[in-house]
Amino acid sequence: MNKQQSFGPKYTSPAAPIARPYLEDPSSTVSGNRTFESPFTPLSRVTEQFAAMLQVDTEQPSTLHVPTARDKKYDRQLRLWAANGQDALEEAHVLLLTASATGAEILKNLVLPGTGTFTIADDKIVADDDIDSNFFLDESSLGQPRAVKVTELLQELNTDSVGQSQILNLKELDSVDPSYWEQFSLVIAHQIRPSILRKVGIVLWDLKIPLLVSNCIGFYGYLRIVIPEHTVVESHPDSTVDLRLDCPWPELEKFADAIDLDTLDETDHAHVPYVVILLKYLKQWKAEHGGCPPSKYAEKNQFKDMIRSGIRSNDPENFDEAIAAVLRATQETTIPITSVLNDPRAQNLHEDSTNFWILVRAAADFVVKEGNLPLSGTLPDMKADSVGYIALQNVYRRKAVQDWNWVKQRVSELLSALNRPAGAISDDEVETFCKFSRYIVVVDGRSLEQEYNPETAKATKILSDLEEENGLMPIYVGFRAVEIFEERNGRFPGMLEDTKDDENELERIAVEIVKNLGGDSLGEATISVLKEFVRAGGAELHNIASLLGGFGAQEVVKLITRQYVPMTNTVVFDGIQSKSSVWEL
Amino acid sequence: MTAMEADGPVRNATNRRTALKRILSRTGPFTDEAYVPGPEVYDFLSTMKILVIGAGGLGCEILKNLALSGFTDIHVIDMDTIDISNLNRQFLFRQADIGKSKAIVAAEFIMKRVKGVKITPYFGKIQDKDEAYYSEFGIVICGLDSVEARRWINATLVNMVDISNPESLKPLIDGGTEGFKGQSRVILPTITSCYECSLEMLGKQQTFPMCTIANTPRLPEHCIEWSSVLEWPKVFKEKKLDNDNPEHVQWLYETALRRAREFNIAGVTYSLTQGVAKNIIPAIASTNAIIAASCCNEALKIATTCNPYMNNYMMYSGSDSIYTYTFEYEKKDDCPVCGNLASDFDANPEWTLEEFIEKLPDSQQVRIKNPSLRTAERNLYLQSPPQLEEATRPNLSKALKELVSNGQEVSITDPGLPFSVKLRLLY
Repeated sequence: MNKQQSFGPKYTSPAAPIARPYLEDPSSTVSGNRTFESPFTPLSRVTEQFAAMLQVDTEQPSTLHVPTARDKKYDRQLRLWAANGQDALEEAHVLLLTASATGAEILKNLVLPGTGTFTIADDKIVADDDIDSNFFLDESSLGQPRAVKVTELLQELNTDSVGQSQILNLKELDSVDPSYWEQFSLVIAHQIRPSILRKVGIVLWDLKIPLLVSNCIGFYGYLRIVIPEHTVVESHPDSTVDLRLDCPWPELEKFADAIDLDTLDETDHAHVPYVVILLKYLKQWKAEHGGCPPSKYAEKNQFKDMIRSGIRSNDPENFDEAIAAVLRATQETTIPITSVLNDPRAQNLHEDSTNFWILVRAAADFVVKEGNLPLSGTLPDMKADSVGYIALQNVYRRKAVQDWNWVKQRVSELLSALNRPAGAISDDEVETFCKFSRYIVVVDGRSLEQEYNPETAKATKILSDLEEENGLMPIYVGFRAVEIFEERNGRFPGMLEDTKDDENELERIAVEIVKNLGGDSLGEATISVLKEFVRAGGAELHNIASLLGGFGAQEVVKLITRQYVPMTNTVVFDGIQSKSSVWEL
Repeated sequence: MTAMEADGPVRNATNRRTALKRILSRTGPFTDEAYVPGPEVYDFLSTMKILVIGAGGLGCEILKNLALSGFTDIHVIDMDTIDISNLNRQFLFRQADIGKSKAIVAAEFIMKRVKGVKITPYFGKIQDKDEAYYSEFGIVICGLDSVEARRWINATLVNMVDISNPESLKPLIDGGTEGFKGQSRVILPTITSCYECSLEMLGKQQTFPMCTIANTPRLPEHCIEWSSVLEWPKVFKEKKLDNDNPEHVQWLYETALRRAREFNIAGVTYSLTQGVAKNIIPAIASTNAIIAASCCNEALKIATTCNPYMNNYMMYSGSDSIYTYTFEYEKKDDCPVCGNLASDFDANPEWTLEEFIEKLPDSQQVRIKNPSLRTAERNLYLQSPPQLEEATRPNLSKALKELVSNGQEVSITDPGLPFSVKLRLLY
């Protein structure tokens, strides 16, 4: 039992883990005669029971653990999106329309981390301006097809990624057979004329293929994500800790009750995990206050004082941790995703329902039964000795596994009702879902049609933000105006020596846009931004292209891996003020 | 310019970068009133010497961005060689380059790709170079992962400022990333806040108390620290632990795993062992691209004044949506580098000098690993030379109150930092 003997007196804690109250079985009258079903079981036994569940590797480590070449090369990103995210990336096929600097930079940041396949479709021949701003072209590319040359130089970045190029007339994309798009996991469209883009947008929307729209002019950058629905389980919140101190389940309560703070010696007292301290004092407080937890600010302070009065040693780190956690501990455990649980997509499952919505339904049913979401089972680190901490961790872990098992059972019933095979949703998938259930994300996107049609556009938002001091909405309107200018004139504003006419025309177009949205005129700020657009003469400045390349690739990775929370749905970067804004438009 | 001779008949200095030249030849609505547009602006940009410190994740991006922004005289310093784990983002390097100097490979790659740009690499440490070297540059951009190196170059550039000579003021643009997060900032030494002013912005480094590691491990990380900090020196005595040696890491992993099993702790993996032992920070191409682009965008604006530059700090976070926050980080009067006041430090007069010194590496306002301490009157403790170390060693066991009076200033130096931190001890 006394495991510390094995590593010598040098490291032996003065607090040898024998005779801890919470290791004693209260049901046992004879010392040493312990039953293994109790949470107060000696740890060695607990571990035997739960070794598999805890994924403690009981095999001796062998050379098999040495990382593969892939692990080594992608180590720094695997720490962010793990093997499942990497697999998704490696299976993806991304299409880029327009081999611009921005487009190439987005792809660069997707090829480097190992995106499986990329295709570049473009109809241009490489010109001087392209070489000036695009790192994936060189002097020898001049006069060659841009799609081919950019693909070649991007391909050099990573042999794991396969690049293809296509000569495709980007002004006639609307006549492409809709089935063409089905091979792609995601489409990036840079500076495609709005009339064409909207038609492509409709096709991709129906196919549920995510579309990333980009534009880059002078010091300004723009990105828009178009996707009907995006769901995320692994949203990577800062913490998945869910302690349930306000509503401990019987086993947790029993665990805390078994510890008698008054009879502990000083060392043991200083090693009682703060979770136990809070549970004990909360129980005492509730007993003294008609069953109510401390709720008002003053009460919480009184509660802190109550805990403070229990400090005995001159090393009260665990009590300090308890006091610091009072605010969180006295918060009611809520269900932050009620609207998702009640969503018709979960409540009315049908043959096309995705795994996500089946899992949501199972979790919703769990909530109906238990009044709470499945437990994450995560315990933060805290001052405690090893045995006590692991014992407490196991209490959380066991409850989590219990909850997950119920959800697994429910999932298999739902699958069977939908006539799907039992393994259609793996146990791992259910567990991950349960662990992150409080933090799942559902994005219901808006289409380009909704944005471009004044009837459904976010007119009030746009018009009010245009008035905001130093706000970036004028840049959004500027991009919309420049698109129209280009479509009408076949060139960008400011490309000619004289800029006055272009400034006037761009202003007229912007006024049209604002009037369509129900506004009347342009403010000074918008007029200035339009002048800056004209000044740029359609130039793609490499720094802004590269920054958009970072934003864009990051969002593509989030969409493909279904990890982290994507931007909804428009971002503008202002390279003059060095600021960005995100709006749902 | 000899670079031009290598060009074919099609492209040359005249027809390169016409789009950029056009912007610089026009006044914009946000440019300073004093801006004089024209070809001189481009000429100034293309002849300015700019220094890039770091040729890693940020450095590769910075070099590319500068080369495509009209800078043609670029210098780069990096002491590192290329490792396989760099290849997921440091796009100027290939498998065949592993083991070679980052600065040299990066410079060669860019010069091959972008004609008319000269990049001068230096494979070595920034501390190898003196003020005369740094004074040759118009702008310095840092893409580093080391706090120490940043503190050094920041203090060096602040110390170089001579009020009577505006040329002596070198704008420092600093970028940093960690996973999906990053920041970029513009430092005008002595005018804006400097790197040292914002030292407390750094997250507190995660350290595990030694007693937890030795006696009460709870997390897999505790077992790994035990294996690397306590067991390795015990078992291998003089042999130094090399975290880049796979056999060493394997040993750490196996040892940590045994320890974990003993305490029934789950979650020790090879990858975690490596991460904890090497203090690995996740890094991805996209965040580096964003931060490096922001830095170079500021460099372009500072070099040309074609638009106002950032004042002075942009924070970035991309894990939940896309978020930036741009604000003015204020200069601190008690900054040890650019301020002139000592900063207050609450101390216990009963602490021994040694106890006080032990608090310095983790103190947010000090962060000095090998401190030597002096007051105006006497040396309290000096790390070197050995004679002085020996002479001042007896002070270590003395109570602070015997050595320093309440409110007195203590000056703290470190051999790696070209400045001293002044603390006013308050009891």
